[in-house]
Amino acid sequence: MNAATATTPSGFFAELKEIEDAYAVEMLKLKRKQTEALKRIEHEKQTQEVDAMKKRLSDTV
Amino acid sequence: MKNIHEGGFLARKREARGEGEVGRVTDRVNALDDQMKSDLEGFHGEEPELQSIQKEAVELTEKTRAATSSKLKEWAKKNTMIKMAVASIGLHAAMVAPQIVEVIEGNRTKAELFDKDWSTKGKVIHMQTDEEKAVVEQKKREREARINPEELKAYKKELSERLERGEDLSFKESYFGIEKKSGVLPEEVEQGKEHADQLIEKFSKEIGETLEKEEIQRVTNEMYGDGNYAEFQALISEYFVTGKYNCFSIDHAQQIVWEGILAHLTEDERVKWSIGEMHVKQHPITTLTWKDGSEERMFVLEPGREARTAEPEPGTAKIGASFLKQALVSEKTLVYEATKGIVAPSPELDVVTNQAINPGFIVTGELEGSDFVKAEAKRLGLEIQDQIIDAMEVEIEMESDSVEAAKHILDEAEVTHPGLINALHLLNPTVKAVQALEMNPNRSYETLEVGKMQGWSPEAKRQVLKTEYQVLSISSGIPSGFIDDMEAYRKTNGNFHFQALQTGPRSDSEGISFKELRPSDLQRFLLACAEIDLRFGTGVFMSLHFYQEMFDAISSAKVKSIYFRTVPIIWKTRAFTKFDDFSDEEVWKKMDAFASKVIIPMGEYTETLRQHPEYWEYRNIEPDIESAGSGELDAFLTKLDKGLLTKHQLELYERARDRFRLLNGQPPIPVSAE
Repeated sequence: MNAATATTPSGFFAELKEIEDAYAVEMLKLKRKQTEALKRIEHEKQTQEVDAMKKRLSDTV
Repeated sequence: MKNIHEGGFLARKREARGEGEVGRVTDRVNALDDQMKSDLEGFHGEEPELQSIQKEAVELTEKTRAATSSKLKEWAKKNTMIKMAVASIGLHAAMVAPQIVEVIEGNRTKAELFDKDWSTKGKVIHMQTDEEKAVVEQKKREREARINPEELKAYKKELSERLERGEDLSFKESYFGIEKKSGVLPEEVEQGKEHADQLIEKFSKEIGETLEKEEIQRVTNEMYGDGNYAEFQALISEYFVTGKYNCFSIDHAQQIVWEGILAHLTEDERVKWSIGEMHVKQHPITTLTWKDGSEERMFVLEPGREARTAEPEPGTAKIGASFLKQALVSEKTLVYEATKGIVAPSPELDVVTNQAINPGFIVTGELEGSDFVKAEAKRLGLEIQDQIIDAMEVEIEMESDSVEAAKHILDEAEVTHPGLINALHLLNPTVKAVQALEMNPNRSYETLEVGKMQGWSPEAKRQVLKTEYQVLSISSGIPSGFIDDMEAYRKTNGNFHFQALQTGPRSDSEGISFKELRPSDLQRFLLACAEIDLRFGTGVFMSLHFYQEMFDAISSAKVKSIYFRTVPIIWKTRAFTKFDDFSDEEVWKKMDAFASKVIIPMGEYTETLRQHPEYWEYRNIEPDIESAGSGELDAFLTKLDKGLLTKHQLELYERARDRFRLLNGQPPIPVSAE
């Protein structure tokens, strides 16, 4: 993008759109990443809980 | 008629209502900011992995803010009006504010420099009131009644024949001659001519035999003076006597003076220069063109204009001296075709002028607009927005009396007038509006400047006397009723809060003076100012109505100090020639004999003492150390050899040195260290 285009409102909006788009894409990636991480963490928690439950059961049996 | 305007309130009002570009940009940027805040709220968690992602999200928003700010900065920097609008509506979005402020601060210096060179040089238009129109119309009628048309025609014919014979007819002879035959009073023409000769002689002596760019700029600035613009003042003789001008009279006066100056150059040098006139819309500006072989430069003789190439530009007319002279004496109106160009419309002003000289030609074709905002935008290479044109309507709208108008004035000060609250356009303020001018969170402002007070209510006038700003500046005369108020205030309250009272024009074009004051009123005024610094602006001593009685009253007044903003040639030749023609020394002698201490600008003080070291003896005259800049102080200090100072000099030296150190961030030197 040519820097001179930012000197008019339309040029400014065009450049802002590029920034907004780039931000939206990166933010989406991070949200997905977080969702996956949350799922994984949740899964790990559940696995750990199940493992813990199994352990408690085996201990009592 | 040209319209030079530097308003902007209307555009800013529109922006404040969210209807302009700034509103749209603000909304868009704020929406992005809100979005980012909302997005960030979605990131949380104590797990290291989640915290790491949250950190990435924060970094992403920071990066995006930086990118947006950078674009905003670039955009605001290139859009002066938008930048001002952004500031004045108080855009406080967290992500935007610091950058915008930085841009404004960054540009302020540039704007200030620009102001200094150009925009404050009488460029603020004062709308002619009906009362003023009536006065000008009356003068015009009186002048026209003195014209003998046959005589004028015969005179022009005589000049025309002389031109045809190849005679070198000077601007001075033609313009003054025609004014005389056009009903301008002969003694006024003679006085004008005499002053023109004095100016030519002075400038020629200073310039010598060759001419440099700096000298052209200096002469231009000096001829324009400061705050002497009067839309309706179109008589050349009157310019030379009073310093007041409009674009026509200053243009013709410059042609007279430059023709005289060029005649003093060496023959080799002189042939390289030629005088002309450029028309930007219907606005004439004198030009000076230098040509040496294939090299050519043109100087447009308005303060702040840079030299440019002489290539024709679209939308302007560049006219040579021979055409001007020919048109002036021609029986028929000549036509000059402007260089073609695309031109945006600009509003016309309804102004009555008393103009004796008919230039004898019209410029046809599409000419570029001549208003100030456009000229500035063009100079800075900016795109001109519609809102800029609309902004010209503003000052009329702002001649309101409301608290809102006062608030706008405070907003304006934030952007364009550091240190000064410019309330010139509050024409009929309510008491509350005057009070609102004091509600300024930034106490660094020192000066409150008010304009024409004739229309103010007695309560509003009394209110302004209560101001807590350090300086009260009254730009358009002291109404006699105001003196009653001053006396009443002092009787009840003792001293004023303000420490200095400035009178005379500072940035408006309203001619003022004490001309309407009777000597007895002036005496009362001076008595009421006993405990304060009295600062006389440029216009005070440029009135034809400056009488001996006034001089006597001022010279014998006992106030804290009397400051003369301008003592240079204008002061000496225009004011005092009314009853005498003083040399430098006589003027200094007079000021030395004043009953109060006399303060003059630092630059002038240093320069005069450089030329006349013996003037140190005039100890009643001091330089204006308190408002001098670093450069001026440095020049003054450098001039003094500390080892050989008299007590008087040493005192000035120490004060100047302390201020110099203060301005340069150094602590004052303790007394024991000296």
